[in-house]
Amino acid sequence: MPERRLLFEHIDVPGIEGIDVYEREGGYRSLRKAVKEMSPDDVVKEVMTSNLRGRGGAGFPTGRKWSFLPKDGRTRYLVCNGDESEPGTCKDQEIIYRIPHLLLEGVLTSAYAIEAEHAFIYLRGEFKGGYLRLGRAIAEARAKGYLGDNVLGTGRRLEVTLYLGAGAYICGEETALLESLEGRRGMPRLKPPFPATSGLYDLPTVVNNVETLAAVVPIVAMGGAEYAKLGTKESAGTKLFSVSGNVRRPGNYEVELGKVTLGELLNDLAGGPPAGHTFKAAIPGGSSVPFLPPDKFDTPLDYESMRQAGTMLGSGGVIVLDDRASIVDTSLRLMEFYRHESCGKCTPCREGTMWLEQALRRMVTGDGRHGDLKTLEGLMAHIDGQTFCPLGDAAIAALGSALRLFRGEFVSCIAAQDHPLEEVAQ
Amino acid sequence: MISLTIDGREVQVEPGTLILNAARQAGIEIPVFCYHPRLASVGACRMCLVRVEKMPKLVPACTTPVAEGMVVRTDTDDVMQSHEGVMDFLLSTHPLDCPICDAGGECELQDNAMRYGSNQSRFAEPKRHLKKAAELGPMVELDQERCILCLRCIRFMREEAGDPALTLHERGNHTVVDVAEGRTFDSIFAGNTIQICPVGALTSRPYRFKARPWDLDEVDSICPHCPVGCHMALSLRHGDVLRIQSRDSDEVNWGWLCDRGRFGYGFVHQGPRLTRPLVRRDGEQVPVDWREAIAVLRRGMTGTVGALGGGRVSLEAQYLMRRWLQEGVGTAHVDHRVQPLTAAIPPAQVGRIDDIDTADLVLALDVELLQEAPVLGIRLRHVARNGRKIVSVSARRDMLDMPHQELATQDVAKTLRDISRGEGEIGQAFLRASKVLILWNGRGQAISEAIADAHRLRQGDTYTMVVGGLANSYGAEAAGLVPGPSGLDARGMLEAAAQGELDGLLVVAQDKRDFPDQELLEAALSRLRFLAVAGFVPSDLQERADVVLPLTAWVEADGHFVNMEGRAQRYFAGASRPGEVWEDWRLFAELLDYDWDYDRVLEAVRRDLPELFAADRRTGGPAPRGGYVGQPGTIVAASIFHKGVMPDPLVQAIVPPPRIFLAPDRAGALHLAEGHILEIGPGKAEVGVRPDLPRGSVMWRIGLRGAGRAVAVLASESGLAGKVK
Repeated sequence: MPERRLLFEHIDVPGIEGIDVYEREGGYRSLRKAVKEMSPDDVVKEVMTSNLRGRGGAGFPTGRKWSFLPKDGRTRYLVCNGDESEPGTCKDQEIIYRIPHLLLEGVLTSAYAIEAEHAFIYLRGEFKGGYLRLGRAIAEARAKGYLGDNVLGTGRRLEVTLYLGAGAYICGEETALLESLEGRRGMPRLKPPFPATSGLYDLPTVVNNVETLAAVVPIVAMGGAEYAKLGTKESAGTKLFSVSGNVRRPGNYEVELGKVTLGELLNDLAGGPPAGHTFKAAIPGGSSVPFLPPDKFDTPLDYESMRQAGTMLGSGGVIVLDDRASIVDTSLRLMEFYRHESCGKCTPCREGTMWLEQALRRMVTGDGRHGDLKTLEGLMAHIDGQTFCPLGDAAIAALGSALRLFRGEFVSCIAAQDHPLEEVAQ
Repeated sequence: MISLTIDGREVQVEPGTLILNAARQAGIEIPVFCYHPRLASVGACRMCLVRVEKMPKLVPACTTPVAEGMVVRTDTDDVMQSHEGVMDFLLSTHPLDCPICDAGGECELQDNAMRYGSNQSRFAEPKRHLKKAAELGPMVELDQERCILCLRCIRFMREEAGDPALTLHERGNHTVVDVAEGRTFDSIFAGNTIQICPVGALTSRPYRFKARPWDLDEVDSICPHCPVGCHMALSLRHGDVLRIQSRDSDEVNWGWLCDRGRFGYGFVHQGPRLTRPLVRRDGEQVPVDWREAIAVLRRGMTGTVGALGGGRVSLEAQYLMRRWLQEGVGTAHVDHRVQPLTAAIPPAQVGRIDDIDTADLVLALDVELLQEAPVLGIRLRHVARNGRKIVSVSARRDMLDMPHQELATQDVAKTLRDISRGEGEIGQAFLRASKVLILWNGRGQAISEAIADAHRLRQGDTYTMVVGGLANSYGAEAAGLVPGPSGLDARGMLEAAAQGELDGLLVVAQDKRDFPDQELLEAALSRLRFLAVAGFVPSDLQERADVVLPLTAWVEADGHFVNMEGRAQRYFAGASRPGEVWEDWRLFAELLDYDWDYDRVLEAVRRDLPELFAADRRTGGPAPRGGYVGQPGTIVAASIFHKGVMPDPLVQAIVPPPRIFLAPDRAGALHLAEGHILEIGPGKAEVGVRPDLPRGSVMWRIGLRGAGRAVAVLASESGLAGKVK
């Protein structure tokens, strides 16, 4: 099963991070086509037609998101969400570091489409190298007239500001990102108002993921209708999957949505489990979605199939566990992450992740108690759907499924500590 | 109106009402922690989640507005479980040190735990340990372990007070509230955070460990420190005021106080008080009984006599004082305006504090809100945050940090000209606005005239409020403590006395520091045949008196203060009275030979000054008066932090050090720089250089002893020879 490379088409070309090679490989043709031959509305229409869905995790249709901008003459902003921090996900990073001009072209083309003169690219604090590369890319593109006061001689103005965050998972949540971008502590804002009506500096704002904006480049190049032919009806186009964990060839793979199963991705592209081992489970969409057991690995990688299988396509970060991995250890490691990254704004997430982490740690370190499973489930019930932003639900998605799918492991973890098995199992 | 159903009950509310408040109106309680009616909702604590039909998840009642036909349930199993969950989470890290916590008994965490928590915590992990009993500033102590991170304090300071002195530090479960890096919590609004803290995380340092709330008596009162007239409640034990909290009032203070008001009761019990009438015999003041003191006062107030002051006593006392002076003494020489106050608002155009909410333009003319009426600044900032236009026309910038001050200017003279002619940006905005509120400190003839012009120029609603003065200056004006047709004003009386043309003078609740021209005062005192002083505390003026009449402080008697909008506001007696002090009104009732009780006095006041008690008080503004003129080249400012007759051991820490401000060119000419110390009369003052002052000018605040003379020297050309260290 081959990859289908649109975004990564030229990623292995030496020197593609520089503008000369990028242009030689056809770069900036989409931007040129958009600003010279198309009206902003034409570009929006192509994106609508393409059925592109947001690649950050939620999968919201991009064209529709753009259409929410009020037509009231106020200044608009485009913000590129480059806060990629989801455990298991490193696809945006690859775009930013290796083909920065693709992202920049996508940002400029999209800014033109939504009639924003100013776009912001927000990078997570750890992407220092990417920040330098993108900065260089912006300077190169400016020198060639792709941005500035007179884009490609059209008289249009397009500006891009690059911003390096302070390193916080929560800033991947779009309103927390806007808070951080405005110079404040990254904490999610109350919605409504939604960013489309009142976002950055209280002005209409679209926030899109790096991969989403990069995908606008091939969409403009091939036309939305052509792009929509890729993938399935609900899940059009190609998607990047970051495969990590117990596979022989971890890495980023670009495949057509719905045309490849999870098993095919893991076995054919990623090389299968290490010799002598078998897969135990995988989290297909970044650490914030439920586990899939191997008997569901024949599920196609698209939004609706994954949902039917009881999980989510999410960010496309596939974390793979083989038979050596402890589910309880893994759950603790994930909970440590969410406890560490909880912003502290709302009670259930702030206190709940701490509590869950402490209880899991006890179980792992040999101090599990009778009743702990009930406690875990009770705590998750108090978090589920009751937090201020999706981080709380994200924190318990994997643990909840782990308790359903691998309850025995939790039970034996506690029972191994001299508690009667049948009591623990309750 | 929007109709919805809450727990099966039909409810009708205004559009935009939050589910939480719709439920409250229907008598259904939804528990909260982070919600505060005077702060914007954040939805952080998750205590108020309710079930709304057709919504997939529980929704926060404090952030969700009602919709037509909405069906809300606050009593379903999932809602109850959610309450239990939040309580469990909050208590998991809470130290449960209620027995030694000042908030015990008035703690929202305790209350909600009683009603919505479970009996037992499942939390079996170690509790966190954080900062306890940390002094954040002079008034506020922080216990981070008790904090439930409702963010009320942070939101109040940042959004309402415009001073982000408190911030969150760290993240997630390590998140704590603390002062911002490099700050101490010295905001004059800091005390509000104590009151809005739902738990014992922020507590009052002066009140710490003083009492349990169930042992306290609560008495309604009004703040005596500035003419805003904030509503407050005294907490008393055994007749002592142990703390003051604000009372919410839509019209006036929205539940806020400044720290001058919140902690400004120290002089009542902690400092020395005048407790017995005194009469001078053989050069010594000796205690006498009231009958004798009254007799001495009557005898002394014969011939050519006058009276000064009265802006700090009750309306009832002011009313009887005026009647006694008129009917008993027969003098027209009376003036409450010891401090410079022009107060020239045409009747029927007196603004109201809630005009701030509806005026589309607020002009603050030469007003130092933080010094003279701090709480008003919070309301102004609130409307400015929502996009309203606030224009500060001032040579001095002493407002809260405020958004949307696009038209702020420092050139007062030019702006006044523009406004009175409808020219320029501000003048145009002034003409266009459908409703304008002018705030003015009541000083300066030029501004007074410009305001009169402005009122003539505009057709639409134009209102003015005098922000300066004392807590009851408006009452004094309304009660008639102003010179009669042939009467002398304050300055006139002092000049007459200095010439030996005034025999006797009664001074009510003022001390030397209140007088801007202290040399003139000294000259007057040295020639007076008779000086009577009525007041609360010993003072340098009282030491000179021939008869001293000890009066109740405001917490010890019933009365009214009339605030800057002409609203008579009742305060009630609570504290026990020291020694033989009399209610302020009783002194004058006695002098009039009226055997009246308080109710009788109040009846007379209401009959004769009905406009102060009317619902629509716009009809009762004080009449225009002549103004006070300061020394040339000097600016006399006022401040509620002036200690004077209400000195305060508690607020010492927040009283700014005495300073004299110089325009940069004047400072340069005098070889003075920021921070230099000036020796002035009995004390010292620090030099402040303010680029916002007009060229060549010197500014000082009333209440600084010896400053008048020093300022005159600094402002004069001979200032170069002044004693500078």
